[in-house]
Amino acid sequence: MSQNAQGAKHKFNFIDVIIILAVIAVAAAAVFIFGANQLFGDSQTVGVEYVLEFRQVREEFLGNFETGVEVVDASKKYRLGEVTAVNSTATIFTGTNLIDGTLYYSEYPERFDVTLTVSAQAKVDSDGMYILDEGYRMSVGTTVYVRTPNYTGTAYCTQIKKTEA
Amino acid sequence: MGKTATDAKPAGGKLRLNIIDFLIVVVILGAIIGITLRFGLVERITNQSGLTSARISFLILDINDESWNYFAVGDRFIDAEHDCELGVLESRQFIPAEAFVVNEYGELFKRNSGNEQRIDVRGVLVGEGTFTEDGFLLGGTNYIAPGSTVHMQSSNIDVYMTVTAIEKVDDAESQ
Repeated sequence: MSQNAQGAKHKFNFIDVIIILAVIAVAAAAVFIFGANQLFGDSQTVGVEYVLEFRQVREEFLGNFETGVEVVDASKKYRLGEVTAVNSTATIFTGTNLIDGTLYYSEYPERFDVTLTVSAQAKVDSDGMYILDEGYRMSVGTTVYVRTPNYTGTAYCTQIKKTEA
Repeated sequence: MGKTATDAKPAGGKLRLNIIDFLIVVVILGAIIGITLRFGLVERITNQSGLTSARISFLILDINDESWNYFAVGDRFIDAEHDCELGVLESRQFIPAEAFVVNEYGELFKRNSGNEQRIDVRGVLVGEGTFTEDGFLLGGTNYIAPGSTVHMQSSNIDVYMTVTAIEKVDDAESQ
């Protein structure tokens, strides 16, 4: 009776080892990229409140800023919290008095600086950074490409603080 | 005696999966699921099924006054960046371009272009999209909202505009 009639056995060879190692490496990379913070990070969840400032917004858009709406990052779709307050002030233009060289501050016609106060839950990573929606790092100075249901634009984080332990 | 063809495989040979085959299948399925989630394919397919007409108001700033010849009511515009239909031009208005000047004291004033060589354009396009909780999706796929800068293009002109308002056609006509 031939060997094949008895049922061929798969012999584990060097190529199989390479394939298994490659799959394990890809899986490990995926875990590292997408889940390292959750699995290995020393993080706690806290409430945060931060302020986003839009500069030189046209006056006709002032009515498009609303409280109670969700802020979404326009580039990677992170959910960044809910707007709790909206404020606007006239944009200030700094000009130079050509006669005496002093600075002159005047209001920019029909342009306003709008601030949104946003509340969100965030993780604090081992470096003390606030991480929103499992991946968006927020600090003072961060440029945020904002999407809300009725307005989109570029804003800057000007304040951030923890609201609850 | 040597092997013969009839000895090569047992009758009714079964395909046996081993661990290597299983791992390959898992990786391929994971890649398909990942691509689907990353590009929101499920959401795109769902949103494209229920498109609503919308009036998209826009503002184009500071273009050459000769350009007014190339905005004709009825022209069809596309979103050149996302390669999707933006809408049909319903109305347009040409106004002298706004400009800001500083006097000798450093004070800023708003003026309109005096020599009429630069114009602003305000207009309305009628397009289609989906109104969702997160905002308006042009063509059911591309988010636009007041404040968006859109690269609009027709057979006559190619220009950047800012969306100033979006409203459902039904809502506007009922007022």
